[in-house]
Order: sequence, then structure tokens, then C-alpha cells
Amino acid sequence: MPVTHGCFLDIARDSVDRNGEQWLRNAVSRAYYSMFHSALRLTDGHIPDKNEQGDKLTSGTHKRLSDYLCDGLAARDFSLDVTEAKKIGLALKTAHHKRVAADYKLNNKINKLDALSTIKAAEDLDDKVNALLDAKKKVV
Amino acid sequence: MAAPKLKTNDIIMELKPSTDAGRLLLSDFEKQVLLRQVRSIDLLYQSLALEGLIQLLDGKSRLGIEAFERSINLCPSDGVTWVNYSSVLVQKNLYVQAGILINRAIDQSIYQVSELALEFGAFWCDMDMIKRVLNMAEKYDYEFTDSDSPLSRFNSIRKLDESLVVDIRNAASVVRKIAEDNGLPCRKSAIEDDGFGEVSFSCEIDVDDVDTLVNLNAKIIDDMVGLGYETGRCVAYFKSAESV
Repeated sequence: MPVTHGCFLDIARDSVDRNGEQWLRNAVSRAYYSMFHSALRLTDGHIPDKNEQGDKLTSGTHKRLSDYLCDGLAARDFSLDVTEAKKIGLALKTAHHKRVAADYKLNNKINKLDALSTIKAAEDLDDKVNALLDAKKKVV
Repeated sequence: MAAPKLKTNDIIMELKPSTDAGRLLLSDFEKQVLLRQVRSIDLLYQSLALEGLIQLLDGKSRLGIEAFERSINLCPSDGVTWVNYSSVLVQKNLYVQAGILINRAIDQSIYQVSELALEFGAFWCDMDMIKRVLNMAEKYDYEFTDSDSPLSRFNSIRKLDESLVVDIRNAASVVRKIAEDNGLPCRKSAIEDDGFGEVSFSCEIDVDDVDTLVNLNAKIIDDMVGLGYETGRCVAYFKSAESV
């Protein structure tokens, strides 16, 4: 069976129950990736590499996806609720900062509550993505 | 400015444990006795300032603010009243109102609020407030006693481009409003860059359950999108102050 965004969330849930801060960091990181892959479903995996004027976007994949959702273009291109798509984009962007802290900033303490809240935020984001996709199906 | 009378000083001493704790440590009976003493003080602005302090410490925000405002109207130049008023608003987690009050104090050149204003401005990344208070302090030759940490933040934010500074202030203002609305004591704030040109503003709060933290952070996202801040380069979130 192919790996899905849910697999990342399963790893995050498994990690958070293990002893040691490295596992909490892993939980935050995996929860973020489950959000990233869940959000990608809204754009059928599409992440723009050029802006509206046709200029090449220089930022990385993650930023381009959250920007695409936040600036309303993903909602326009994929017939999504604009406000909900923006909220998903901002939640993704916020979780990305936590993921960077978890993976790179070893001097920053990551505690269990913050790891659990990132997992819950990932679950909530997945619910919102599902709701948007369901709403789209009903319209079609 | 008239020197406080002995009675006023006695009352301030009696309130010291409460002001240190940020809440009124007196029984209701003791509070009423103290209020009677306060109301018998001849200088009305001092009497009102003390009543405001007692009421705010006791969580009676409307009564406290009314009394402080009357006091300030009567004697707008009394720096002690401005400092006590601002400090107790911060202690009671009324951060939005405290910010407005501190800016009013700076407008009126109340240099005694300098220390508090610098710390407050740095905590909430309000560069305008910091610049204004530094100008005021310089004008009045005010010497800060503990400015290393706030000035360090000021200097680090100052290096950022102007639009990012605005984004940080906007994100922090959303957090500040939610903290006030929910009565959340904010322990520590932090600015972190992600290495890709964006930053986060985080605020540590005492929270012990996941749902509360998640709901507060969802509220930040709702409010930021509501205000059109989602395309900015600063995100914001609450984090737990608990240790690992």
C-alpha cells in the first residue's frame, strides 16, 4: 500500500509516547509532514513554481504551497472556500516554523504538550481538508 | 506633584504583598476597611489611585479603571499613578489596555513609565513604542536600571526590513488581544527566524491541556486571516511554559 499523509501522523503519535526529547522533536516534525501532504490534496499535488506574471518562484516547495493557499490563488484555481484555504495555509506555515525548531534548533526545548498540540493541529487540519474536499465533491 | 502623605505610604506598604502577587491578598472585610481608609485621604487623586489599585488587584476591572482614570484626570502629571496603573493592568493580563495606557503616558511625557514601556514594547515587539520611549528617556535623561534584554530585542528587530517589522508587530498584536480576552498570563515571548526569511512570534503561557493550547492557536489563525495578516512573513503561536 502506498504511503499516505496519515502514515506520518501515525509515526508522530507513536513518537510522542516514547521517552526522550528526540522523540518529541520527531513527533512535531512528522506531524508537520502529515499536514503538508494532507494540504497537498487540496491542489491535487500541484505547487506553483511560477508567479502570476510567469516569473520563477525562488522559494522552497513548502513555502510555495503555504503561500499558494494563503494568497487565495489555490482557492481560485481549485474552487475552494477562500477563507478556509487561507486558514489551512497559515496553519501549515505556522507548523513549518515548529518543524524547523524541532529539527534544527536543538537549544530550544520542545515539551510534550507542544508536541501533542502539533499532532492535534495536524488532525484538525486534516479534518478541514476533508471537509473542503467533501464540499467540492457536492458542488461537482 | 504633592508628596504622598504618611497615610498613603502606609496603605501602599499594606498593599505591597498584593501588588507583588498581582492579586488582592485581603479578605473582603479587610478590603472594605482599607477602602474606607483610602477614601478618607485628603488628596482626591491619591485616594482614587489607591482605590483603582485595590479594585484592579481584586479583579474589579471596570471599577479600578474608572478610579484610575479619574485620578489621572485630576492630576495628569503624577508619574506614580501612571506607573501603578500600567503595572497593574499588565499584572491582570489586560495587555491591550496596558499598551494604550503606556502610549498615552508617553504622549504626555510621563518619563517614569520608561522602564515598564521599554519592557512592554520589547515583549510585544512594538518598535514604535520602544523608539518613542527611548526618545523620551533621552530627553529627560532617564537612566534605565534593567534594559539589556529589551534593548537586545530592539536591536535584533531593528536589523529587519520594515515590512517584516510590521508583520511581527501585527502577529504579536493578535496574540496580545487573545491573551487579554482569555486572561492569560504571558510569561515569555520569543522571535525566531526559520532560516528562509520568515519569523515566528511565540508566547509562553501556563497551560496544561492540549485542547486549550490548540484552540488558542486556532484562534490566532482565525484572527490573523480575519485581519488579512496571512500573507505576512510572521506567524504566531502560544506555547506551553511547562518543562520537558
